Amino acid sequence: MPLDAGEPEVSVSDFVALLNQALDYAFPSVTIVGELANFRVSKNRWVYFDLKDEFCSVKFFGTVYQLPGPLEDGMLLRVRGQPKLHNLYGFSVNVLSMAPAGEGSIRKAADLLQAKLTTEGLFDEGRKRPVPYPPKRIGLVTSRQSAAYADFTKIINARWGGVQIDVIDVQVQGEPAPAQIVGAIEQFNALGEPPEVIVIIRGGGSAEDLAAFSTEQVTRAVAASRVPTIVAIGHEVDLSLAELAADVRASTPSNAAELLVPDRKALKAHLARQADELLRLGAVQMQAARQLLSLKTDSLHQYIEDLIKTKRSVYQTYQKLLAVLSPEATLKRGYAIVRSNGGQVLRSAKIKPGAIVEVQLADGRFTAQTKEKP
Amino acid sequence: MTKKLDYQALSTELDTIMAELQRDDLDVDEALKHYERGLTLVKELEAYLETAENKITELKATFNKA
Repeated sequence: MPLDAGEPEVSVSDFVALLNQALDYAFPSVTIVGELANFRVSKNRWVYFDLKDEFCSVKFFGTVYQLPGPLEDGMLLRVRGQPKLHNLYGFSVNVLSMAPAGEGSIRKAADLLQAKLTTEGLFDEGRKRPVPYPPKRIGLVTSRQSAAYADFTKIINARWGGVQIDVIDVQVQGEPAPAQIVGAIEQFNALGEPPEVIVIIRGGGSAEDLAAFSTEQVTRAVAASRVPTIVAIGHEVDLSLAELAADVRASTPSNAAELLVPDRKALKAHLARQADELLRLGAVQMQAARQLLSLKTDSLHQYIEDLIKTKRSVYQTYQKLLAVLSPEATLKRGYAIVRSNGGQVLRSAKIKPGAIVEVQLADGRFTAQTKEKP
Repeated sequence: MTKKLDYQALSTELDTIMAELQRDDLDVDEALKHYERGLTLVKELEAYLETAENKITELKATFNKA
């Protein structure tokens, strides 16, 4: 075939540059969905694979950091990338982001990731920490426009008061969702005064809608959070990996609110019972104090009575003794008191003969004159 | 929220007081003190349950929401 003389010639390098320019212009990025084939990782860093369908196959190139988790050939993938002609290795699409697509592949990817993270111990029961009940400050990660947000705040407000809820609004589905959710978890953890619990919620949706909460990055961020976490994604039947990694799993956003705070109605009833019990205990204590006082009064009376009785009997003894020892009693027994003329009691017989003395007997007295000693 | 009250702390204090009031070797002065404090706590807790409201604040996300 003759060369067309009118067509400009280009070098190989120029051709590659020109083609890349044209590709850039036509596809600043392109999202392709296809079945994964020939998946391989090189040097723990580079990822090579093909996406194919019934008729075609396209090569892709990326890094392990872009992987949504472990992958297996045959899974359906959605890959966003930039088509490029490499100066040595030919055509491939450079990966910008990738995620499993379709229920089956999402489930498969989640199963593979779950197996890998289970081996690492991310879901171990021993890692679960208690969540303060009720917390005074909650860090909430969700979409503010979502039904999950409305349900959660409605139940919290109905049940309890005095909680500070800090919300970080994130996309809960779509490509930016995982990075935003991870960013919000890290932001709460980095606060000077972090909340007491981080609550991550999302309402129901298809497996694809909920996929962000089963990605490796979100699951790892939940497991790595220093602040305890409660995660509720979708309905009761949906179980995301983030929920498995959480300290507490709630079945729904409303259930998360119920697990976090008590119901003020129940507490009011409890408080009323406590108030009644307080009144009763107060009365019991006063009654006991009164009884004790009455016992003390009785024993005081008894003590005084006993004291008087004892003293009285001592006095009576003294009285008897005094009566026995009195001069009158002695005189009655036949003794006499002899006094000198001057009235002094005589204790000695040394007196002059002829002296006048007075003699007192039990019954009356007389005077007498002494004679010579016999 | 009118006052910054810690419901849990007050409730725990009330539980302790109730337990103290069940002791039968309690001094009457102590009993009266506990009883009066208990009544105050019940009033404060009731007020909390009646009036405390939640406060919701949106934090500006530091990640790039492009």
